[in-house]
Amino acid sequence: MKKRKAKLRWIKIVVVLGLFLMLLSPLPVSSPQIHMSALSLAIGIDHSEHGVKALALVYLPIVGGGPLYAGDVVEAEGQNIAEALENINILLGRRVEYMHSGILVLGKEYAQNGVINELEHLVITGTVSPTINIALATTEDTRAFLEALNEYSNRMTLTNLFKYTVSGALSHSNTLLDFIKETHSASGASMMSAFELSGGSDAGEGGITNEDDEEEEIEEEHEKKEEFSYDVESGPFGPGMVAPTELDPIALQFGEGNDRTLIKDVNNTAIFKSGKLVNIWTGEESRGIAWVDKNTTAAIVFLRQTPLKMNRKKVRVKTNIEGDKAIYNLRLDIRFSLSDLRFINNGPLLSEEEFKKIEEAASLKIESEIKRAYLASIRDEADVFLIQDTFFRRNNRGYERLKKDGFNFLNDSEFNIEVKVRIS
Amino acid sequence: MTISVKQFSFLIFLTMIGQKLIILPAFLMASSGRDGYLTLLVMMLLELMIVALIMLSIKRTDKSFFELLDKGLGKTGGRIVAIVMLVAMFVKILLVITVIRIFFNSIFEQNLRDWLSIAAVCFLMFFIASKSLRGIGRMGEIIFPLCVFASLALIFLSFRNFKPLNLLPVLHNGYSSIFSSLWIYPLWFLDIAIMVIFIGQVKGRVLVQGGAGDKKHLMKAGLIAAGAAVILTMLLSLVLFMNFGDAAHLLDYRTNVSGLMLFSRASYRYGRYDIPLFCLFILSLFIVLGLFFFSFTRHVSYVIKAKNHTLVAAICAAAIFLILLIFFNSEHTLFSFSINWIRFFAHFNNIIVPVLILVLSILISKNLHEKHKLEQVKLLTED
Amino acid sequence: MERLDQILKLMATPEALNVREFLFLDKKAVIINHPDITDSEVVFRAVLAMQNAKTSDQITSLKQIIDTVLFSAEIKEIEDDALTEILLGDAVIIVDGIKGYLVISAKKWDKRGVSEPLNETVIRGPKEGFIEDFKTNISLLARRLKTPDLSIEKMKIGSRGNVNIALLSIKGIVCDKLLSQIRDKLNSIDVDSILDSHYLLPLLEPHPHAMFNQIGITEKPDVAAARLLEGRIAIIVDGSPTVLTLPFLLIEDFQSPEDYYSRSTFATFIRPIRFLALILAIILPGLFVALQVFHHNILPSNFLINLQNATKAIPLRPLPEMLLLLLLFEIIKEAVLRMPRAIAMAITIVTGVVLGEAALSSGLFTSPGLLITALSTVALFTVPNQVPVTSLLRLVFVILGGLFGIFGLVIGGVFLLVTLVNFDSFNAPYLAPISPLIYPDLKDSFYFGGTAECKTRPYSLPGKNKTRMKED
Repeated sequence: MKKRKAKLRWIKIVVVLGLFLMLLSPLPVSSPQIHMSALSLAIGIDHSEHGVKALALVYLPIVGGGPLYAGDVVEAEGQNIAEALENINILLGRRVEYMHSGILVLGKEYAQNGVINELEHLVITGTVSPTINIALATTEDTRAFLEALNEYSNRMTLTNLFKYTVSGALSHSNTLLDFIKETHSASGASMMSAFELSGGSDAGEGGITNEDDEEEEIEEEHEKKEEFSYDVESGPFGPGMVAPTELDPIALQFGEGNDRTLIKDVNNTAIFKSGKLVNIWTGEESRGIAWVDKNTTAAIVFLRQTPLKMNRKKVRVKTNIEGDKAIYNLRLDIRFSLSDLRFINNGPLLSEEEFKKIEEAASLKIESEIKRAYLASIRDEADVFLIQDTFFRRNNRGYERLKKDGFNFLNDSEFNIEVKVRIS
Repeated sequence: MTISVKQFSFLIFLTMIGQKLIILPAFLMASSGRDGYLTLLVMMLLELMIVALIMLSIKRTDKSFFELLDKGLGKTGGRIVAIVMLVAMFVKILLVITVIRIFFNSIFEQNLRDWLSIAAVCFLMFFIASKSLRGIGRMGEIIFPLCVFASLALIFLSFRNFKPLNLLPVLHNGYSSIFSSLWIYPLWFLDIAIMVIFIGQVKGRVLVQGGAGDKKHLMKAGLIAAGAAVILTMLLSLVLFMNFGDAAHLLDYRTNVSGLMLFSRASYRYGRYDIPLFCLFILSLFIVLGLFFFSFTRHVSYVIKAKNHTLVAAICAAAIFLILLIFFNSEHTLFSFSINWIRFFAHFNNIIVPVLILVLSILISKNLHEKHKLEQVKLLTED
Repeated sequence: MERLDQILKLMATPEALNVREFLFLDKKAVIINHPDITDSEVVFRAVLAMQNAKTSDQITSLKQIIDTVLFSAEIKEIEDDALTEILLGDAVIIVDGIKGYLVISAKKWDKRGVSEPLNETVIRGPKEGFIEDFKTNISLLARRLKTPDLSIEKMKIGSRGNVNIALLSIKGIVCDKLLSQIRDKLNSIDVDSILDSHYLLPLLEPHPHAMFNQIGITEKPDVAAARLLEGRIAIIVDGSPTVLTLPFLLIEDFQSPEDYYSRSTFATFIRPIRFLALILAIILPGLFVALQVFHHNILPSNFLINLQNATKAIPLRPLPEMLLLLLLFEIIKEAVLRMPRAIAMAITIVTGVVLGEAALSSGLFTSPGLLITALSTVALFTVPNQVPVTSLLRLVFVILGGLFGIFGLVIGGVFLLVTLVNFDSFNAPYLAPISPLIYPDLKDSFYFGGTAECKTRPYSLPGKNKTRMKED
């Protein structure tokens, strides 16, 4: 018993001494202090002669605090993205935590050369969050964009901007993972928001196509536009009620005086095929895809001056392969609410007939927007509606059979749209 | 030392859910792609069947596992079976320790020295195994609600990333990839076979006659626990397959856990509170480790006829520490080893042993019954 | 008188005793008492009664004196060891020619009044508390358990202290085996004296070197009575206001008497908060250090930026900072306990306001660190009986978190869990009814189902007759 007590006493002494020595000795682990790391709030990737240029909007700690999110834009080059990001760490002399970044911005020239390798590297190595928002800077390089973000001094607001552009059916924003998955899907096409900064050419002016083809394409586009546009004079509600949406650019201004920076337009969508940028769609064209996006939750449709606010939306896709025919049926059921009746009638209530007319007009309008987007996808040969991928998933056998025969699902499928609008 | 039916069913749940989510889904994704979840489902249904076999054995006999081996196969045969099981359990223990290390090093980005993390885990498993089976049963009772809470919270958090359409087309690459994964990765599943160690150790503690503590509810309790484990594991892992199924190359086993959650509500902006939930979840892994090591030391004691289990446990823990540090310092070496020839030992351990034990328990209980009958007849005739 | 001389010889200072000789009928008699601890009125009455005794019968035994002469309520006859009775405060009468000694209960000394114990205050319910007087303490319990089954076994422990110990239990409920085990243990104690009930703890506990309490303590008679009714054993020690109860389950420290005197809904609400508070108190400082040192990626961006700004100017790393803060708080806690009440208020204000403000502005500590430590210290006191254990555990977890991060915390947590599940208090599982899970006892654990729902005694405790209330 005495021996056991003595043994227990020695064990306790050894344990306590061990803990004490561990405290005093150099730690068995090595970890930098928390203020020795920098937080990256946004990342940019640009093309460079040597390979890739990486930029980061980093926040460095300030004693006593400072304006939240006031950071510095740091850039470094490398043969690949891994080297470029590591060079940023070396430049700053501290480890940069990229996982806190809210936005990944790609430069236009870089996007034209193909982006998928670098983006996949970022996801595989866990450098950035796969759910980071991804966008394209259509003009200038990404440095201007990141500096603009810094000026705006609140990256959260800009991150929220992505949510609102999507929910408001303005454009199609994407996360990094979804972008990569769409690239690897059977359709091979993917999208991201395109932000246009001041000082550059307007988006949508011919995009990336060759000059020779440009005229032909514009002519073709006009023809198809006529096919799918509605006679505005004879629309259900008279002139101008069902005109395709002509969107004014939505611009953000920040900074003061001569240093004011302008994000000229947030409406646009960059279209990629196999990871390479093929075109930048205008807001009008983008709206069509946004209607099909399940994240669109708060869109407004204007029938002349009357706003219809979207409450609920259901998107149903049915695909069928009958023999050599592939049929893609897209059905939207949307509920709108209507409160401002000034431009419809003078009374507080609408008759059933008036209701039906408004519903029909709204349906036609949305249908025309979707069809416009569909035409644009055919023009750019970018299956942004993921038609081919849908057939691959749902009708795999028929898909394989038709594919063997060289069937082009984007061009040759029967694309039917049905939009049903209910107004409450 | 015995455990109750309740404790046994909690341990079934924890063992089944154990290490299925930390690394295994990434391996399944790599081998079976989008259909990897079907492999996982088949694995878990197999485990359900093994659970039923083991519970039938427990109900049949009050003899312990080693007594069954001795009586059924003889001392030599029993020891041969024990040695084969030992090999599989040994590699399993190495795998579980490595999985724990990877979880903390990768997900938490913690660069702990290898010797330190291995030593800490080895000491802990020795500590668990030096206590009785009853202690493990009680630990299961406490960790079970934590694990269930963490699982449900994680499912709730990841709900918005449920995209069932991404699982289509089903079986695009055929059935072969599913069954090949089953053949290659036996050391990663069917952990439930370890529950054979509980034969003869599960006693119903009846507070109220016919209540849940009664042994006659063993089958029901066990199958419910096993079924719950299947459902929770599948729901938790589905997010991974739905979101990465089309681009399996994007997922590394180190980012498996993050992929499972895909930063649903938790994110770097709001804080990764899914990770502390995973810490609660990973407590089940310590139970699995404790169970395996306990079983391992008892098997070693049985083979070498040792009586001092604590000493045997200490020596085994030290041996595992050294082997892991010297030969399997890199996880790649160990993973490659686990899908090598060693997996045949795992197949034996996982499938043959539960069936064998059921057969032995039936035979021995039949013999005892007949012996009892004969004795009764003898008594009657004597009268 | 030979017997008197024998008694006086044993005393270090015989003058301390009061010796009064008198005549009883035709015999010499003497009364001996310790004047500082006896009631002189009782002594006087006894002497008077014996001096004035008039009886025709021949008095040959002490029993006859008890039956016919003395009228004291508590009087007994002993054969030897009269000095012990004198030292306990009784008066002893020796009659020349008659064998034996008469012991008259004449204890009288100053004692404090029954008041609410400072360590177990309640808003509702009885506010009586045990005091240092043995008789009073027994009476406080006996008043609440007016049953012939209440077993009060008195014994004396201590070769120089001769301290009265009472072993209380309820026959028909308590486990007889445990009772005899405790009785044997108490009888085998060979010490100089027991100055307080806490002296008995290491002598009775099955694991005296363990960190965890294995015997419950209370200063309230209603709590002690409730525990007796559950099948426990209570030990009262003369001179101590703390009563020991065993076996002890960890859940007891989370049960406040207030829970039983207020609505069960509120008790159900507050009990999980106590659990949470204790867990936070132990884990929070270690977790905070671990997150700062290793796991920046778990913290939200906003908080991370604030933390970075806060730690930038601090000379200390997170682990030494937290250890220093814990040490500081322990010093403050200790000083508040020991300092004279007259200056306690002033010092508390200085500590709270000046120290806190100065510590931050001096740049020695970060405000999040100070906040976490303060929160943890306050949370410790939601379960006051566990403060010594949880203070130590908190320190261990801080070291584990600072050195090994969340890995260390998890390993430490599992280690603690394994220790607790294998721990027992006199064969009662320490973590019952959580582990092992005992459904009938859960009604009074994490939640409280109400006194009407607690129809059975705890199955976690050894004992018989588990029915407390008849079913409707």
